[in-house]
Amino acid sequence: MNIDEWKSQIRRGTLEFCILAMISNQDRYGYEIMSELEKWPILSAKESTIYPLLRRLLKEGFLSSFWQDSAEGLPPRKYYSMTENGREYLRAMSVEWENLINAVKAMST
Amino acid sequence: MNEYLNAYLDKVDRYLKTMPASERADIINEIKSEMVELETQDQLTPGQIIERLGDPKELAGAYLGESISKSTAFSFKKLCSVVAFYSFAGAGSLFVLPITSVLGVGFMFSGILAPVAGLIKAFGYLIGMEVPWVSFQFGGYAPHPYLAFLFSVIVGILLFAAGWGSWKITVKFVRFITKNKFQKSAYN
Repeated sequence: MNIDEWKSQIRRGTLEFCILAMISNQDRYGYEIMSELEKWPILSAKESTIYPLLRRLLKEGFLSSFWQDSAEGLPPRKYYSMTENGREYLRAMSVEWENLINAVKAMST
Repeated sequence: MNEYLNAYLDKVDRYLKTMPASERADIINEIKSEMVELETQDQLTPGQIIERLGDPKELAGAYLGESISKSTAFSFKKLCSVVAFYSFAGAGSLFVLPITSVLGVGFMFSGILAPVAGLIKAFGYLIGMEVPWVSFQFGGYAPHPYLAFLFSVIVGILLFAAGWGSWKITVKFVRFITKNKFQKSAYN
């Protein structure tokens, strides 16, 4: 039984939701987001997934970004923060997420 | 920074060459920042970092895939076709049109002028008048004015035909360009 294909399909839309939710609480930089997601095996994804996804969210106007110096000797970090559009998008996603969870619960019990 | 990591970044940068330079620099800086975090926080070696980030071509491809959605891929293609078309039409307008149109008008005008001049010469001879500003010459050979008139008519017809041909090419070329333009804009 190979469940990986299904998992990656589930992950695709969920990641976007999780990343936006994470950034809505506080500004985050890429490595931080990666590490946070890695705590959850179902959500852990490669750099080649997360960084391009962040860039798309940026281009679509849901996120904004700024470079900020970190500790001495380290290169600056690129921080992402929520835009008003992003918050609206996240609110709409949350509603749909609730609908989905309820539907899955109703079907499987 | 480690030379392997720099080489990796160079490769990604090269695969992203269709992107604007500023955007490319931003992407490369962000990957570089991630590399340094992996090196300092996770204590990974350059080899492990490269293994983790994966094939540079794939990483660049993921950026291109996310940034070029289906609709913009179409417009990028459209842009290419537009550029290709206008450079072709542009070169055509630069060289073909001026040459054929000037030749066309010039030849046709000469084609009419030659028999008129021949007629003047022949008529002048008929009434016993020398017309020095009209002469018909093939190198050193100057035919009798009557014969010169015949020649001038033949040359006139040839010149006019050449002019007409050039004019036809001009018209066809203009039609070709506008037709292509219309088809291109009709599709897009």
